[in-house]
Amino acid sequence: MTAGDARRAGVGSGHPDLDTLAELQEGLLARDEQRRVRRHVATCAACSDALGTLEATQALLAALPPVTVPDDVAARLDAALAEVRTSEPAPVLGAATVVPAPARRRWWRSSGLASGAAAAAVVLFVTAVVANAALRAPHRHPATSPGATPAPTPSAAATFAATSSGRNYTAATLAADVPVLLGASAAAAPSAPNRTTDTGGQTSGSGPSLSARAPAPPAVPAPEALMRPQRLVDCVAALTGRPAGAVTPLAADLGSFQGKPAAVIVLPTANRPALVDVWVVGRGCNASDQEFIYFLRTTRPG
Amino acid sequence: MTDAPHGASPADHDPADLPDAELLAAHVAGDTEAFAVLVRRHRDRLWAVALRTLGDPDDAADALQDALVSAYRGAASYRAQAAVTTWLHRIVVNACLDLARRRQARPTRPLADDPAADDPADPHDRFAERETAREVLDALRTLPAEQAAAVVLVDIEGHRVDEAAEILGVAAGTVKSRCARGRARLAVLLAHLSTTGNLSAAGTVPSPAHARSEEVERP
Repeated sequence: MTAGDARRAGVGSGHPDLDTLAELQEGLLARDEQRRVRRHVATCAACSDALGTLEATQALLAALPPVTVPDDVAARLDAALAEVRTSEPAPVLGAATVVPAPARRRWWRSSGLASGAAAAAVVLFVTAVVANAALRAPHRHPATSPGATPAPTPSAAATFAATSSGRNYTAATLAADVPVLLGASAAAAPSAPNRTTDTGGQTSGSGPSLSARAPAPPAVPAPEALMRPQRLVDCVAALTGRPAGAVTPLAADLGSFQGKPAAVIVLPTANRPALVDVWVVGRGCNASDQEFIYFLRTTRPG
Repeated sequence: MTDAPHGASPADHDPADLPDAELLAAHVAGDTEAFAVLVRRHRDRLWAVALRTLGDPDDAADALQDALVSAYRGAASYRAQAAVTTWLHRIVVNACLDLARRRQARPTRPLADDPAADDPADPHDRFAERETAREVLDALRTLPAEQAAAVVLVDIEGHRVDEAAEILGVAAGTVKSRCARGRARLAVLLAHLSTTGNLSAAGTVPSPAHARSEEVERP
């Protein structure tokens, strides 16, 4: 190995380091660097060995025996799910909540199975029709018409203010953020809560910042590029399985969730006035892909 | 997906025969048992991902429970663009990464003996296998959680890179990059377990400072 070799290998210490070799394996190196490193490895026994070790490590990982959930963890999971099942009998929003109670049985075994299955099938069909209608509805392609003002369809009229606090939400603190979210939203539109008319892609009203709990820039209208109001409406429709505009969010805020860009949308819980549903979705949430991240059902503040 | 298997001869139907998507649909439609069936079907693999990403059985149990409750509540948001397993994995991995971030703010838990490794749940496990698994777990625990998750999904659980990318919500190149750096670190820590392990010549232990990071994700 000469000094020239080392320089060509692109690493001061004389050999490409393991990161570089691992990136070579993954095809991540730029073409020139890849060529240099390959040439070095071809003549360097140590680096050949190091590559072999990387491969052996992968083989070791692939050969790990499968694990099974320990009994105590399995019992804990069952208990947690049983608890959420009894405290929240209806996991769904919108149309599917009309499933009659008898259908909530174990339809593949119960004697009333045929009717139960039929009820479930009907409900799913209804949901599917709504989803399809949402997909087929006009103005569902913001990417193709970024500056277009939505035509006054019934759904487009029902847009609402979104704040953009930039706040970083977490699963641990989300419930505590709900009163702040709702407070900010109510102040933004005191007379007709959360139903501000919006025809130009801008949110009207400048809600206060969420700085009651944490320093954050003042809420500003949601940037078009991040989440257009119409897309938010579509997103809500997709989340609820209801037609666009049928459910008006109590609040919607653009920020991040555990470090990743996200929208936090607070909706009234169907048929449960004392509760709200908090959806955390990606900012690309739309009619066909909600980019679901997190869900929380919690008590409605105030 | 609303009609098929429960029309003709429903009495024969064992829920274990139903596809994932139908179980999830049944859950959304109000069936009280469907989600539990779905969980039982996949929980071992989800547990493996959580345990190996977090490296700690207690943390893994916490994360898995949070994730499954979240999935239970959020099932109505599932759409068929992704496989149900991908959707479940995504929720579990998100819960793990969230928990890892919260743990970061606290003192590191001592590397206690891993009860899961001693658990003779599988009578076929051999001692050496358990020891290897334990050492891998300890090594994984030293990686940043994002790297560990990528390595676990691709190298241990055998997901394709594009599947892992979908689960992690990042680009495929980011998955490769995380895998590469994670493997480089693991190769050093686990060299004694692999027969060709000889890193003395290559010498350099990868340092995070060296990483040509294209991803700046942590605030």
